[in-house]
Amino acid sequence: MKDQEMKPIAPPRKQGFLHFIKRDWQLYLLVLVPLAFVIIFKYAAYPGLRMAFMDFKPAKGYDGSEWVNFEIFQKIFKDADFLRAFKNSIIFNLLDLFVGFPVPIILALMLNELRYRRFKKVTQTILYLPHFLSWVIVASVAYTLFKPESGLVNILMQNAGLIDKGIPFLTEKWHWAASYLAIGIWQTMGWSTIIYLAAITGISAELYEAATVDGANRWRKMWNITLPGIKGTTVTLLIMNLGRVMGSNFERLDSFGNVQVKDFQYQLAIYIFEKGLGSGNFSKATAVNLFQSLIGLMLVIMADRLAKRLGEEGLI
Amino acid sequence: MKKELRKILALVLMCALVVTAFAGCKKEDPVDTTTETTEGNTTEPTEAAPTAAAVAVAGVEGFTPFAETVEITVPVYDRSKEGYPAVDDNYWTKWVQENFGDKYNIKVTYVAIPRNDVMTKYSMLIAAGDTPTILMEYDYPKVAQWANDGAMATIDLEAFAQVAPTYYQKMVDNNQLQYTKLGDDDYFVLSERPYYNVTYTHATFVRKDWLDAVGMGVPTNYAEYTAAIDAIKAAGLTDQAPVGLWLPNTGYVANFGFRDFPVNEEEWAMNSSLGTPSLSWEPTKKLLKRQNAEYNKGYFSTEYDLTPDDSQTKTDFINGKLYAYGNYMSANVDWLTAFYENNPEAELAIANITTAVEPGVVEVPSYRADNPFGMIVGFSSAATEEQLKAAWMYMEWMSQEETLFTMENGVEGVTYTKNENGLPIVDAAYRGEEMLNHNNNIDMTCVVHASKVTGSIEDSIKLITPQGIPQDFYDQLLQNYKNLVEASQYAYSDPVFSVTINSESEYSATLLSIYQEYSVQLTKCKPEEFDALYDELSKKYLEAGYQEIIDERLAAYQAGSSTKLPVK
Repeated sequence: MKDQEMKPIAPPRKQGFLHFIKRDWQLYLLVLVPLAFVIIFKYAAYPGLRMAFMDFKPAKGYDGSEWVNFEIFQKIFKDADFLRAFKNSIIFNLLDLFVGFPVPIILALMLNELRYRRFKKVTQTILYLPHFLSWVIVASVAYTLFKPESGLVNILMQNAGLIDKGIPFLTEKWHWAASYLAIGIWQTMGWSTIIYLAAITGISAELYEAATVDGANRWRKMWNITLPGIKGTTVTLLIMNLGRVMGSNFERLDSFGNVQVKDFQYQLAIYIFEKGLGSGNFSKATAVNLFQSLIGLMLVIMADRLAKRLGEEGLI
Repeated sequence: MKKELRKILALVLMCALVVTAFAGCKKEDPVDTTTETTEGNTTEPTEAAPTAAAVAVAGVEGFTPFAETVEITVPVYDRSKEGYPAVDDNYWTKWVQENFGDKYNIKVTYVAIPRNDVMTKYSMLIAAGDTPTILMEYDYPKVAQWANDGAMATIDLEAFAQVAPTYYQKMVDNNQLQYTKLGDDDYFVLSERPYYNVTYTHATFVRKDWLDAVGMGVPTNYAEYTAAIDAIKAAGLTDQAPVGLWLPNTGYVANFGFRDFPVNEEEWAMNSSLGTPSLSWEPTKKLLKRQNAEYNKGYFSTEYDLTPDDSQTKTDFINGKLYAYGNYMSANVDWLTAFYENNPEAELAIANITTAVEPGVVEVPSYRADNPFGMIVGFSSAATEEQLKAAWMYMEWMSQEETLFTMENGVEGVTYTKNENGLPIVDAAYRGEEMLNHNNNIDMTCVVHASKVTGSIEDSIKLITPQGIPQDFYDQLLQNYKNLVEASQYAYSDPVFSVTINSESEYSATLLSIYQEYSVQLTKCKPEEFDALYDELSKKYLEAGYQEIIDERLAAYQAGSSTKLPVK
C-alpha cells in the first residue's frame, strides 16, 4: 500500500535511514525485542572473554586478577586431556554430521512420497516426538534398556537364546560410540525433516506435472526435481551444522557418560565442565570455549566460501 | 540499499559495543568494592573491635539492634530429600528471623547449596558477586581454596571473641585455635564435632537371618566374612550379587585398615586426605586388590560402576537383596523402617568393626577419625563491617543452649515429647509445618556443632537408636561404641595444612574423575592382571597431577605447616 505512495523515480540516495524507520517503525519495533535478546545474551558477555587472558579469581574481580597473556592457552594446549577431548569432539561431531545429516533428507523424501495423509501426519508426529525429550530422559531410558546385565534388551535376547552374554551397548567404548550416534540420530532426525518438508512444499507443482507428462517415474522426479529443489536449504543447513563441529552438547555427553567409555566420551564440553567450572577455573573454561568458537567460525566461513564457489548462495 | 543496510548494521554493532562496554563497567563496580574490602578487611575488624566492645557486655547480653537493617546470607545444604520442606524457606528459617533477625534488625537469608555439588554452587555465587556472608564446609581444602581465591576475609579473632564469646570459648576448649590460620592470617573459626574420633553414629547392618540360615555367626574377621558371603551365594539366598558397591564419588578412599601401624607420619601427611584419592599409595593398592578379588568372586554387581552413589545399594538392601548396608543413625532411619516393611521375617545385626581384619593385609580394626572440628567457617571478603558483626552475632546466638535445643527438638508436644528422664524424644514421623529438616535441622545448626549431643553417651546413643522397627539396637549400638573407643587408638584424623596446597585446588576434581575410571578398571580386571595394571595406572595417575600434590604436601609438612599425628 505504502509503495504506491512512493514516488517511483525518487533517487535511492534520498531514502535515508530515518525514512525507513519512519515508514516501517512498527516492524523495527518488533525487531528490537530479538535484537535486545541477542545483544544482552550474546554481545554483553563479550567483555568477559578477557578472562581467558587472566588468572581470573571471581572474588577478586577483573581488576584484582592478574593478566597472564597466553599462559592459559599454552597450558591447555600442553594438556594431554585437552588433546584427547579435542580429538574426540572433532571425530564424533564429524561422524554425527556424516551419518546424521543425510538421514532427515532421506526421511523427508520418504515422507513426501506418502499419499495417505493421515498416515503421513501420524508418522511424522511419531518421528519428531523424541526431539521433545531431554537428553537426561533419553539416556536414562537407554540405560534401562541397554545395560549389559539388567537391561531389558539384553535380557530378552538372552532369553531368546540369541546371545550368551549381555552386549555392552553403553559400557564398552566401541559399542558405545555406535549406540551414542544411533540414539543421537533417532532423537534429532524427525525434527530436522520439518525444514526439508517445508522446502519441498515450496517446489512448484507444475514441475512435477510437466515431468509426469514427460513420462518421468517417481525416482526420476525425486532425483531431478525434489532434490535440486531443496539444494539451497541443504547447503544452508550444512554450513550451519559445520559451525557446530567444534561444539559439543554437554547434556548429551554427560547423561550418556560412564567411566568405562571415557576414552570416547571425554569431549570438549566435558573437559570445560570438569577442568573449568568444576574446579572453579573460569579462565580455562573461557579459553577453551573461545578457541572452540574461533574454530567454529573459521569452519563456517570456509564452508560458505566453498558453497559460493559451487554456485550456491551461501550464508554470509 | 546495500549501503543503507551496512550503515544500519554498523550502527547496531556500535550500539552493541557501547552497551556492552557499559555493561562491563556496571558489573565491575561491585567487584571493585569487593577488592577494596578484601584489602581493607585486615584492618577493619581491628578498628571495629572497640565499637563492638563499646557495646559494653560481650556475647548475647551485649547485643543491640542495628540502626539500619543488615542483611546476611547463610548457606544451608540442600540434600534434595523427599518429603522435607525447602531448606531455604521453612518454619525454622522463619523462626530464626523472628527470634534472632527481627530482634536485632538483621535480615537472615538462607541460600541453598546442593550437597553433592558444593564447589560449583559456591563458584557461581562468588563469581556472581553473591558470596554468602558465611562460607562453610567440612573439607579443609575447599575452604582453603576460597580463602586463597580471595573470597574470604581475614578474621580478627579478638573482635570475634568479643561478639561471640560462647562460640570462641568452645574453640578454645576443643583445642581448635591451631586450625584458624592459613599462612599468617586467621581465616577460619571452627564448629565443634563431638566424639570426632569415635564414629559411633554410623553403623553397618548385616542380614542375621541369612547368617543363621548358613549356620554362621556375625563375622568377626575377613576369613569368616568371605566364608559367610560364599555360603550365602551358594545357598542362593539372593538372586543378585550379595554385596553393594558403587562408583567412588568423593576422594574418600577407605584404606585406613590397610595402612601400616604405627603410621608413617610423612606418608600420612602426603596421602591421607578426603580431597584427592590416594592412588599409588600402598594401602590403596591393598584395598583395590581385595576389591578386585571380591569382584571376581561375584560379590558385586557387574554394573556397579553405573551407579554414581549408594542409592541403588540402599534400594537393593531395602528390597532384601543385599547382605549389608550402613549409614548414619537417628531416631528415624527411613531405610531400616522400609527394610522391615518389605522383609517382615528378616533379622539384622550390627556388623563387627573387626570384619576387615586379615593377618598380613589388615592387621588392626582401623577407621577414619573425623576432623577434630565440624564446619570450617569463614566470612565473605565482600561483607561489610556490620554484616560481619551480624554474622558473628548469628553464630553466637545459635550457640546458646536454648536456641540449639529448640532448633534440634522443635516444639514440645508437637515435634517432641519428654521421656521419663526428661530427655526430649523427637517424633521423626511428624510431617506438620513445624517438622524439623534433615537430621534435626543439622544443616542449620552445623555452624555450631556437627551433631546433636544430649547428656551422657548412653543418652546420646538412646537418642540415635532407630525407633519404630521390630528390633531394638540400643545394646548393639552401645557395644559398637565401646568397640570403637577401644579401636580409636588406630584411628587418625587427616592432616590439616595451614598453607594452601595449590596443586590440590588445580587437580583434585580431575584426579577424582580419573580415579573413578581407574578404580573400576582395577576392580574389574582379572586378578592375575592386577599388579601390572596397577603399576601402569598409578604411574599415569601420578603424572596427571597427583605427584605434584604429594610433593607440595610433603614440602608443607617438612616446613612445619601441617598438623602432626596425635601421640597414641
